[in-house]
Amino acid sequence: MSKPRPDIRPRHVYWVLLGVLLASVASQVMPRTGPFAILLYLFTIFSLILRWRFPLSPTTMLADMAVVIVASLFAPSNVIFLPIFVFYFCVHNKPAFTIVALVMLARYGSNFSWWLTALAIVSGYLLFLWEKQRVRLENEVDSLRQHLHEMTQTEEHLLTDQYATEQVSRLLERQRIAEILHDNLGFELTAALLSVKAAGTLLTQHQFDKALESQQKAEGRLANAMTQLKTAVRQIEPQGATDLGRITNLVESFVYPVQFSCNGDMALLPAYVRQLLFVSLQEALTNISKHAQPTTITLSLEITQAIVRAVIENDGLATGEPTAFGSGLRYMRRRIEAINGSLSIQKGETFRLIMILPLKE
Amino acid sequence: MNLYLFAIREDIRQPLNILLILLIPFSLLFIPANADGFPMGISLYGLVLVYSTFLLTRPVVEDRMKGIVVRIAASPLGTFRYLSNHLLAYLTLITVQIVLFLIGSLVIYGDAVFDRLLIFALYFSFSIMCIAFSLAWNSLFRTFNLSFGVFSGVASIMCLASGISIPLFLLPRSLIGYIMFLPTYWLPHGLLAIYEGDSAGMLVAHAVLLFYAVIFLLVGSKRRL
Repeated sequence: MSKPRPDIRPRHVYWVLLGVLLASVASQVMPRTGPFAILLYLFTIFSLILRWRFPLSPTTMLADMAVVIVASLFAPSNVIFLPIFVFYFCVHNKPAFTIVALVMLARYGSNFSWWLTALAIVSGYLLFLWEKQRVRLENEVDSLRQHLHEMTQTEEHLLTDQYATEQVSRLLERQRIAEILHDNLGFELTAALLSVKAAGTLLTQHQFDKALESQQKAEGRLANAMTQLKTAVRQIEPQGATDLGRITNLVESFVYPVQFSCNGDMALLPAYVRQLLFVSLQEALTNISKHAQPTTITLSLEITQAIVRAVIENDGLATGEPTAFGSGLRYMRRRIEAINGSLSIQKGETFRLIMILPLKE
Repeated sequence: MNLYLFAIREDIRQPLNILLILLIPFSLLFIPANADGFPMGISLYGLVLVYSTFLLTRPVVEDRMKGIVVRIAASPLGTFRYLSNHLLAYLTLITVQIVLFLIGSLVIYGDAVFDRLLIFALYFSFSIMCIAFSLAWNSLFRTFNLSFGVFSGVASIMCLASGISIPLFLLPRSLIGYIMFLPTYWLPHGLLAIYEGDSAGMLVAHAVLLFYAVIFLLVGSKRRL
């Protein structure tokens, strides 16, 4: 794990620059320090620390600056304290508030205090711009985080809905099968049963001709039942062949040539697994077209009683390709994990994506 | 028992604090007087005040170390009430020490040597500054031992350079402009002003000490969990 980069923020630089300004002012005041200068110096520090401790409006700093300006009118050398207030107002983007201080500095200031004022204005305004940009970027990051969070929640809801829909689909399918069996087969089989019973009764009464006729009717009913059973099975039969056709079409229409092999019976798969398999293969192939330039792509599907194993391998691995899951792969993995499957990547000479989808919960 | 009395009891429980409050200050009274100012013990007592206040504020650091401050933050008791009660308790103990010290000086030096009320007021302002300074200093450290280790060095140098450990008149005049930035300078400055009857000097010493106290309080009172 890489060491985190030290986080330097505008407020850190603000305090460093204030320290520099206070030290510069002290260097001017020190050799001839008097009690009055010390009090003014402490007053300036007090003003700054008060605003660090409590969120006071920058406008209130005008009152503090007024005290220093009045003191400077009595002892002009005290204008050396004004660059600190100029810096404060520049950081808070209040250039109009610095006018009186600048006039005082122009009137009474020394060369050193002018240089200090220039430093205060430039550094203060740059700090303001930095802070403004930082706040903007922070807001953008917050908004993106919020968006991502909402998308994740939506995805979870969709997955839950998908699961519920699958359950409803299964129930509807069972109901449909039950209806077909009841409506078609039930009638014919009941009629056949009654005919067989009638034939039995006629045989006990030695009415062989009628019994034979009844038996023929029963045979006819059973033949009809067989025909209807075949029709119902055809109606109920899963679209395995169609799904395999969809995958084949997907592979054949892909921009790069794909060697496709499939072992096992697609019809064994539940509908939701077939759909998930198709969508995941589609996403995997889209990723290859986006991030790789392969010469060979192989796609192999193995369908057993317990799992479906899909392996997609390509040799067009880009050198700068990220190893971490991108958003496409991440969503694919979430969908696969939602049915207790797994998605893994093997990166060596080739890029191999392995999907395992369980068929039994 | 309210928080104020609890803080006093917590401090008095430490045998070292009793020693500091009652015995050590009196030993200073036996240092001989000098010709150009108050007896040396009066000035050196500033050193005792610096260390006494630092040791008395120990419970505040320990509360932070032991995580008690976190529990206090979660309780209805506010930070302001917690700090103000503790600091007032320390100030009370220091005031008792100052009074005892001045009574001792009355016994040793007699009645007519100096105005003890003015000296009491100066010591009082100085001890407020020292308590605030200790609070701000301790807020920079996580453990009391490390804090005290660094403080003992820094405080000794400050007292030495600012005229507490050695008389102010022995320091070079050119140095005075620089050491005025040290908060400890203003005790010997105030004592000198009292000795010379300079009322303005006395007021300035009080003002600077209280200014420093407010700044240190602002820094030290920031809640650090």
